[in-house]
Formats: sequence, structure tokens, C-alpha cells
Amino acid sequence: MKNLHLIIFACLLFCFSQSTYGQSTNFFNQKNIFSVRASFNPRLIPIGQNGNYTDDGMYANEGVGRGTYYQYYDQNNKLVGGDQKFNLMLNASYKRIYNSDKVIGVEFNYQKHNLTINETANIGFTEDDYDISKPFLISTPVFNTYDIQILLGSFSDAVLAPNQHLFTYGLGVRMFSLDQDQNYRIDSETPITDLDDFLDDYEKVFIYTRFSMNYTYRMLITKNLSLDLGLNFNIGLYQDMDAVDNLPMEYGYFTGESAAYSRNFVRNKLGHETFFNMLYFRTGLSFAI
Amino acid sequence: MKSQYIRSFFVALFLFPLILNAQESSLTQFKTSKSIGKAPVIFTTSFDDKVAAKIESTNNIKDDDKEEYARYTNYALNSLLQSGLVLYGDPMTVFVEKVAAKLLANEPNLEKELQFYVIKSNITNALCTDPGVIFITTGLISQIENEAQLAYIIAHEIVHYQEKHLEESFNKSKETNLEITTSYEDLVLLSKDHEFEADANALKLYHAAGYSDKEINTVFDVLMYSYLTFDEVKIDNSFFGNPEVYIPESYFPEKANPILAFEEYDDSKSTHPNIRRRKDAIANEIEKYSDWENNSHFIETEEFSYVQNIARFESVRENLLRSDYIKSLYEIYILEKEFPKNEFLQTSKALAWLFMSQTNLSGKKRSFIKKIDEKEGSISMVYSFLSKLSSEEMALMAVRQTHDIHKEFPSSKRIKEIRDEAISALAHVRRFDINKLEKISYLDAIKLREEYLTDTVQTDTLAIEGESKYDKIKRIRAKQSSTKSTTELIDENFSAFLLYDLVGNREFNEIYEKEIEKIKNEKGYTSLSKKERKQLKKERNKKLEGDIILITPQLEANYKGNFDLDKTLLFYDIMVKEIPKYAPTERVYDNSIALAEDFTTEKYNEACLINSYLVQKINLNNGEFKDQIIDYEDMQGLIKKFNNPYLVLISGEANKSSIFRNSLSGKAQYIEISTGNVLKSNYYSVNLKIRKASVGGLVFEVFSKF
Repeated sequence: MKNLHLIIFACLLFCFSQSTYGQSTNFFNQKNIFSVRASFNPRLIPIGQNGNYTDDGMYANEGVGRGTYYQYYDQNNKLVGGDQKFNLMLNASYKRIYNSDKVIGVEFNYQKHNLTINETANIGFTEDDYDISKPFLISTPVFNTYDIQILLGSFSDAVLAPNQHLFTYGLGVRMFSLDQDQNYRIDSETPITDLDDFLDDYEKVFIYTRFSMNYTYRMLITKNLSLDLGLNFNIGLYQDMDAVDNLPMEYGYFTGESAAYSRNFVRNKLGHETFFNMLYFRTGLSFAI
Repeated sequence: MKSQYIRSFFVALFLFPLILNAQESSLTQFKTSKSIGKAPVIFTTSFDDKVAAKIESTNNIKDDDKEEYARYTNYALNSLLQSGLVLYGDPMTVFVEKVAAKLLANEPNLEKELQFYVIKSNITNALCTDPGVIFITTGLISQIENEAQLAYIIAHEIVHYQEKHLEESFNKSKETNLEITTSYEDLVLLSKDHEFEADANALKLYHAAGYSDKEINTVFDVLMYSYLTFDEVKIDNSFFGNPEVYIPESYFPEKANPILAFEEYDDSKSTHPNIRRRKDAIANEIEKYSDWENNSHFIETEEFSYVQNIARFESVRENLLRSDYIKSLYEIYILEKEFPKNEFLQTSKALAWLFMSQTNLSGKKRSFIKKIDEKEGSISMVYSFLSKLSSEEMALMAVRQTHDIHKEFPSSKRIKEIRDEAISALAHVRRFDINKLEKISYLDAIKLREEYLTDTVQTDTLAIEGESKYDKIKRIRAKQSSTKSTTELIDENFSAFLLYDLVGNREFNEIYEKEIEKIKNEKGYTSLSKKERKQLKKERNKKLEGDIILITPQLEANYKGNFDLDKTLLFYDIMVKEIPKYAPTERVYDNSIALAEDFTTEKYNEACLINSYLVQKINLNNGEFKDQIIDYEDMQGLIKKFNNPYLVLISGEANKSSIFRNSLSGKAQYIEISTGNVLKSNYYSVNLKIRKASVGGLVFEVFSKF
């Protein structure tokens, strides 16, 4: 349990904030809050896939910042490298205020996520090494990411809710679904015509449980509308994040037994990548009524 | 031609006593003073116009500071004018104006610039504000002895204006970089030099008018002893009215606390020099004038004493309003010697006793009896006596007193109501047993016992043989009970004999039983089921129905802890605009004292009345008891105009502690005037600066109860 400490920490925070005492009415009797926001976060992926730095391992992890690189084919089927240093996420949420300062709600998030390039792709691929007989040219998969979270929280009790300071905790799922409309290719000559060859069970979504802690600072524009600035701290509640087995384009692919990307590898890699995307900065508008 | 003189002489002869009679009768039917006639211009001019006029007329202040000065002085003046305490056109103000006219006979320009008003306040004071508005308190009028003394005080205030002392103070505070605040005391914070100057220069006007120099020293005595009541009389049994009532002497201290005021107190922290220094300084000044005349008055002394009596009656009322019951009773005691059977005084007396009884039963005795050791003069006797009374004794005394007053005015429904309330209050006395009340008065009981003892002297001497001491006591006590009294005749039991004439009264018992029944029913609420409690809670949260009387909200804005006038004005401004948005406009009646063109005396008097009610309400500590309104008739008239009115008091405070930290908070109280019940709004607090949304939110919150 790598993130056990974080969870305990989060729970402590949660308990503490729930014990605060609020006022008995609301600002203009507003009880419903609808928000639309955009969040972005720096992709803070460490160098080492497995957290170790080894020179002689099968899957040595070298190359600073590779964790943010991906590659795709453009309209001219030309291989292009991308460096996604930031994620952009769109959020929509509905919150209901009860007991004058407590909040319960639901949040939907959407973001586009590029699986980062496989670490093994760039290292020491030689003609001699049959493991990687070809340069690693396959497109990295692109996922549509959807979050659904239940929110619980409270406004700071000193002033009438909804007010400036909102603390919420979210628990929900993050689902990754393969974007099927991309120009996926093995290389510039070889398009992937059957996505089954690209990703095992490509239609099945990857589901992760997530816990989040959010702080929102509301700046009132009119009595109903406010500009929100917020911080969002996400923790993925899953354990396997070592994408070191079932590497892409291995035996199975060439023998035709499995797709280029195995589910096991992708699941671990997505887990790893999103776990470290912990800190989001948010801004947007809230409408309270 | 000759006959015309005779005729006018006769007319005058007839008119004079008529006026006197009119005055006399108006004190019999005394009601609190109201403003009369056309509203003076300062009431009908808007704040901005006044500020503009002030900027125009100020000469001694730097151009840059003129606006600030004008705004602050006018804000202070407006606060006073909107306090609901200022009178115009009433006999007191008219009298003050007459005295001022006499002083200013040779200064027609100055006379045009100055205005005089009376403020209903028991503080002995006179104030001068910058636009030439001089205020004299009713407390001052009640204390001074004659017209000349008033003239000297007015002259003193005129000098403050003439010499532009306020402007000098402002300049000085600007120089020393002191923060300007608008509290009234600070605004009139004139240095001691100014006081000496005013004392000395006042002589010029005073002397020219022809008043006597002998009155001046007394003025300072009046000021020194102004913390005492307007007269000092001995307290004896007549204080309790009914000669049948026995009040044990042991309840009174042997003598009253001494009067301690002395002239040479430490004035180092005071704005005014001490009396000794002022007296010394003025003695030298007086010598500079020769040919002093010997007039203590120019206006008829009857008019002065009439005006003074109004002020004294106002003082009684003011003390009641401010829950200073003992002072009120003492003043009534003084006044009833001159005005026996005066309904106002007696009603006030009944109210004072009722309020004391109710306050005591609500456990708030200390709110009106405190610091007994610090009371000076014979009033300390009353304090000491009342502090010794238990709740039961005080409740019984209240019934006794109110019943006596009721007997004196049997036709007054109001007094009867007060007495009935006093009887009802008895039901709230803990461990009180109505059956223990005696049917004869204490004095009669003593008389009977003496008669009995003389009757039985002989039989008693025939001691029964073999009788033990205890048998003998039992026998004697059994005989004692045949004197109709089972209570031991000792001082501690005096209260059991207080209601000797009421105990057998059916009405008395009915009122008492009814209240006992009511209390029993109310107690039932505590044993309600959860569901019923929920229902009750729901009912409590029900929207209020009835008209809404609004008075000027109490708003204040601060910047880093200091009063911020501009923001305060903005706060008011937005509040005024937001109220119509969220208030149920068809039910709202604005009774705030708005100084604007549509100001009318009638509206003003109503607003003043409501303000007084509020003062009473704030000071009243009578717990669950029903409120008895002091200005009963006037208020009844007002209430009739509305449909079950609620008085809504809004208060708000905005603070800016740094560029990023703003807060605005507020709340409202709703007083159902017909019952006196007070409800409160939820506390409103937001971290916003003064703006439409934050102030609107407060207004929304306040009116969400309707």
C-alpha cells in the first residue's frame, strides 16, 4: 500500500472538517451550486517507472522527463513526438448545501490522456537485440478520461454559506476509454486497421478508484455568480503501478497472440501516470441559486 | 381709547390664569413632550446640502480639510438629530429660545446663525455643534434653579460657537495627526483652555443681558452635583404611601450615605477643568465687570417652573425607560409632594414597582440595584432597603403599591392592568403560598395582640398546675391564633401582612389562580414528544405576518479598527436601495428619521415614540413577562394604525482589516409590539466588502422572516 499514509492523512482531514459548526441559513438562501471549471496539472511523472534506477536491468529507466512524452501520426502519417507537460481537465459539478454549510454533490470530469511512450522504446534498441527488432514506432494510445465523483464537504463556518472557502472530498471512479478515432499506426506505412491488434479488449474501459481533496476559493461576481479558484488533490486508490511486465510489441504481438498493448501493461501505466498527477489547479465559474 | 386699555387689561388678566391653568392641566395629563410646529430647516436639509453649505462657510480650516471637517461635523449632528431625542417647538425649547433671544438681543447676526433645541436626556449637559446648533438637555433644565443659570450655560455654549472652538480642535487634532473619529464626545472635545475662555467670555453676553452675578457660582454647583437627583429630600414612611403598611425600620440603614462630591477632583484626564479651578477663574472675571444687575429672571418664574417641571416629569419617564426604577421612584416621591394625585406620576410609580418585581423574579435584580455603596444622599436609603427585599417581599410590595394607586384612580384601566400584572407576578414567586397571607395588617395584628394580652393577663396568671413549659407555650400560641394571625409578629414576617385587604378579594384570587393555571400549562411543553417539538419548532420558524415598521438601521464601517465615514455612508446608501428589493413593500412602513424634504413633524414624533419604545425594550429585563409600554396611550394610538406591527431593527458592521480581508456582518431583531416578544434573525456574516451583493444578502436575510 504505497499511498496508505496519504489516505490516512486525508481521512483525518475529513473528520476534522466535518466537526465544524455552521450558521443556520444561506447567503440569499442559495442551496444549489452549479459549476463549470477547467483544471490543469503539471504531469509530475518520475524518471523511474518502478522507482528504481538500474543500469543493467531488463527495463532500465533512463531519460529525464520521458514520462511526459508520447508519439502520434499526423494527417500525413508522419510520426510526431509530443510532450504533454500539462493535463487539461474539464469539470462540471452540482452541489447541494444542507445543514447550512455542508455540501453534498456530484462531479464529472473529462480529460484527454496520452499514454506516455514506453521507456524501453528509446533505449538501446539495436539490430542485434531481438527483443526490439524494430525502432519503437507504434502510436501511443490516447484515452478519453471520465471521472465521476461523489463530493462531500463544507464551507468554512465563519461566514454564511456559500462563501469564499469550500473544502470538499471526493470519492469516485476514473475511467479510461480508448479514443478510437485516432490515426493509430504501427509505423508510417502500417496503419492499424483492427484495434484489436492495438489494445487487448480495446472497448473495455479501465476503471480506477480515486479519492480527492479540493479547496475552492470563491470570488463573488454577482450575488449568484462567482469565479472559482481552486486546488485539487487526487489520489488514485490502486496498488499496481509497475508497468514492467507485458511490455508492448513483445512476443505475443509478433506471433499474433495478443495486441501491441496488453491490458496489464496499460492498466499499470495509466495507474502510474495518473497517480502522480496529483495536484490540479482549477478555475471556473459557479452559479448558485 | 381708554376703554381699549381697560379691555386689553382684562383680557390679559383673564388670559394669564388661563395659560397657567392650561399648564397645570397639561402636567396632570402629562405625556412625554413632542415636537410642535413646522420642522426646522436642519431637519429638512439633506446631508450633502449641509456638507456643501458647511464647506462654503468654513474659513479657519485648510481648503483640503474643509470637506472632511464638514462631513464629520454634519455626520455627528445628524446622528444626534436622528436619535429621536431632539425636540423642537415644545415649551422647553421655546423657553430656551426665549432665554437665548434675551442674551443675543444685541447680537442680531449671531442670533440668526444659532439654533437651539432641547434633548430628552437625563445627563446634565449642554452641547454646541458646529453649524451653530446648541442643545440643552432636559436633565440640565431639571437641575438648574432659575432662568439666569440657564442663561449662563447657554452663553457659555454660544462662546464655543463664536470662538470657533470646534474648528480649532479639529485643526489641532490634524496637526497632531490624531485620528479623527466622529463620536460626539470626541467632537466636542475642546481643551480646557476653550472651557476657561467660554466661561469667561460668556460673562459678556450674560452681563449685557442684565442677569445677576450671584447665580454664576451656583451654576458650577449645579454641574458638580448633577449626578444626584434634582432635589434631596429625606425618606420617611410616606414613601410607601399607605399608612397601614408596616415597613420594618430594620430594613433601612441607620443613615443615608454621605454626599461626597468635591470641587478639586483630579481633572488631568477630563476635557473640562475641575469645578474649583473654574470657580476661581470665573471669580476673577466677574470682578472685571462692574454694575452687575440683580436679575435672576426676565421671563415669568411660572414659566420657568412649568418648563422645569416638564423636564422633571421627563426625567421620571427617562429613568423608567432606562430601567433606573429607584431613581424614578425617588423623583416621583419628590414630585408627588407638589403634584399629589398626579396620574402620570402615580402610573409611573406603579410601573416602577411592577418592573422591579418582574425584573427581580426574572433573576435580574442586579440590573437595577447595584453599587449601593456608591449611591450618595438619601436615595441610598431606598437602594439599601430594596436590596434587602427578597423576591417574595418585593412582589408583595409591588402588589401593595400598585393596588393603592389603583384605589386612588379606580377609573384608570391602565393602572388596573398594571396592578393585575403585579398580582400575576406573585404566581411566579418560588415557594410562595398565598394561604400564608394574613387578613389583617401588621399594625392591627399588634394592636389585637396587645388587647388580647391585657385581656388575658389575669387568666395567664392562673397558671395551670403541673403544666410544663412547652404545654404553656402551646396554650399561649393557640390563643394567639385567635387574634386571627398565625404568623409570628416579627419584622421578617412583615410582608405576610402587606395584602391584608386583598386576601379576601375574589378578583385578587382569581387573577392569581389564572396565572398559576397558565404557568402549569406552559410547563407542559417540556414533556412534549419529539414530533410535537418538531411541530413547535416549525411553528416558530413560521413566517411573520403583520406590518413591518422600519427604523434607521445601525450601520458602521471600519477600516483597520477605525471608523470609516465614507464607507459607513456607502453602507447606508446601498442598504436604502436594497431594502425595496427584498422587503414585502406593501407591508413596510419606514419610520426612520430621514432628514429630507418630506420630513414632517407628525412622522418625526412617531419615529421618536418608536425610538423611546426601543430604548425601553433594550433596557427592560423582565424576562417572560408581558411588556408594559411606558408611553402607553401614544403607542396604542400608533399601533392602531398598523396591522399587528413588528418593529424591525437592523444592525450591520463592516470591517476591512487589510486589502484582502473584508467582512460584513449583521443581524436583525423583530419586536412584536403588541406583545413585546422579540425574535432574532440568524446572524449574517460574509467575507465581502460593502457592495450590492453583501448588503443585499443582509437585507434578504432580514426580510426572509416575513
